[in-house]
Amino acid sequence: MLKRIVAIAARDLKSGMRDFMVVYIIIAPILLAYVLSLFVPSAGAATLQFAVDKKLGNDIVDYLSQLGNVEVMKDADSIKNRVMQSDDVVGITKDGTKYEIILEGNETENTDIVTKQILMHFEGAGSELPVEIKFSDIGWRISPLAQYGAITLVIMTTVLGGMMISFGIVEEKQSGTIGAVYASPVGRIEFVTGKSILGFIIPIAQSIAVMMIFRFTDVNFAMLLLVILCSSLIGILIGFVIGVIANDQISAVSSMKMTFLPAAASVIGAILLPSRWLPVLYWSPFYWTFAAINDLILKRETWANTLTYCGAILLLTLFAFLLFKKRIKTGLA
Amino acid sequence: MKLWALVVKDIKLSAKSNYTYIVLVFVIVFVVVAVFFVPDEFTNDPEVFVHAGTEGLLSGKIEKALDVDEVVFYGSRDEVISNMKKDRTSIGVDITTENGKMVIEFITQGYESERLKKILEAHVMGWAALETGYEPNSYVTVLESNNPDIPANKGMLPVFLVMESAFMGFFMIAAYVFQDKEEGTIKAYAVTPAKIWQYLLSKVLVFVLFGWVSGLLATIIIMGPGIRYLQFMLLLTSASIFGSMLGLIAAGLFTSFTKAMNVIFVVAFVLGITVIPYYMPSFSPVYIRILPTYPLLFAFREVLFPTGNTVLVYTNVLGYLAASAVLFYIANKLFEKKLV
Repeated sequence: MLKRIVAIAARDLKSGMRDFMVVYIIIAPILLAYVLSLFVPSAGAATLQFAVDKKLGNDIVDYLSQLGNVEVMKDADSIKNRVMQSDDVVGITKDGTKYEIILEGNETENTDIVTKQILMHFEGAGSELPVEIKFSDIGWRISPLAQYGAITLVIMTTVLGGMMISFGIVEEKQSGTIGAVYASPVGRIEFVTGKSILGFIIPIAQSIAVMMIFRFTDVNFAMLLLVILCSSLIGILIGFVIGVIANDQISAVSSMKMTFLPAAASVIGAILLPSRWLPVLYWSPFYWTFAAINDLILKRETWANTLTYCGAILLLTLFAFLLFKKRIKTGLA
Repeated sequence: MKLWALVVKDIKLSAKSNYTYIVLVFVIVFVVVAVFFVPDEFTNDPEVFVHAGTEGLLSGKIEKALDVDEVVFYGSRDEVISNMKKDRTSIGVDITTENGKMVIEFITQGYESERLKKILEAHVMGWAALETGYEPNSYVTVLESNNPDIPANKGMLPVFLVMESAFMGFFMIAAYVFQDKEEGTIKAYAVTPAKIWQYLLSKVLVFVLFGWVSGLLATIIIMGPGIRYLQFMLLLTSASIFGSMLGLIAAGLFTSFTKAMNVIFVVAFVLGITVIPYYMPSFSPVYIRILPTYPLLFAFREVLFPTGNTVLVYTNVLGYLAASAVLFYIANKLFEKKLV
């Protein structure tokens, strides 16, 4: 039995390797993680953007460069053109002795007041006041952008694993090879298990790579592996359900697109909703995956918590499986 | 007529594959979320935890000094830190007196940039100067005075219009092309006198139609009749054509459906990154601004919440149409060589 399961997985792998498909599928999200990780520091450092008149001199440009991005413009008209573009840029020029702060009008609230205060600070206003500003930190170096970016990509890998299964089944159905498999001694359970193996391997390989790229190298990898294994199950189940329901690629892609709705809703909801509203996401296994990986990254994981999250994922997957069991059975017949 | 017959065939195919219903489900889900779940006003300011040992100068004015809606007070610095550890997006402030000076200590998590710290310092010192009677040596000129206040829920609509309605073809067109390939429709088509460009254009038109249905439904329900629908339709149509052309290129470059879909997923993800500067306009590096979805998001915002910058809308319309013409030429060449 094991031999036949391995043979089916090996067949999928071989067929995927023939046109480098599997390598490609594994590499693509990893590449994406790498690209994202490159711009996370600049997004995290984004504060204000200034377009400063050249005539104001280097001192103010140097000062403002410590606070945000500065573009030096040749005159007031160039500043106005830059300010009118879609992003938030504060224009600064001088009219006589007074600074002119040029805004489009749709900037983030209080940009005008903050810029006035910044210019006062530059000019040294109030420097003699008995006020001292100090900074300290509590040693947490992980930016929320990296944290949520990594979790989103890990969840995406579990969905992608399922996507490969569903597209594979649809292709087999269309080419008629699924019938040939059943004409062989391979049973349905062996076929399903064999087909699922890549659905585990791909998310595990990708998730570990994603965590490494985002430099979460000191997370508890045993717990991470457990969470990914459990989360892959929902991806695999989705893959089989879509694979048996869809008769063609159009249905498969559109159904896969539908799958991204609960996944995206769970991630966005988990990030944005206040804690009292989180129970509205408890129905989603993607939410529990989010919670588990979030705890791992934030270093507040315990085995009890991780097992609870995994239990929730498995229970919800089991529930979904019981709902679709008959459909999968008949669909693969 | 041949072209129209092909469009009708694909619409029938969509109905058979339930895709038509899925387009409608997406609209319904989006509208329900926007109308019932997302509030008009939404703030994602970080929580500020304060221990005010000596308030002095800042008495009763801490919120204004820190430019936040509200702060949470704690009895000690340790309490502030312990609560910061529970919320990794929060920031702490400890106010004490030292040698007759008020010391304001910003306790950050550790990931915050030096620039943010400098801004906090300049902001608080500037505020203190203003409070103690200094006159600002600056004045503000606002270039566009009729900027509408955009409610958070309606502000999501441009994101839906770009990522779902306009780029629907980018996501789906490969499925239609490979479906035809599997069924041998393309080969059958090749032996008829019809041209390959008609076949490709028919696919694009199907997604322009779907884009209209999806975009118009969501916009009419959320915005009502009071927007400039002519501009809206021009923008939606040109962007839909462009998105579908991009999808055709992806389909033409790969011989396998799964491989094409992988590229499409990754590119869709990259294009989706432009949503970050849409919500965080102070972050707009050049490598994001050159993505085609970036100007489109702001052009849709201009159509839905006009400030008078119609040039932005028409530049987008013309730009997408010109780019579509180039992509169509490339797609035509690709399909002539590869798929038939």
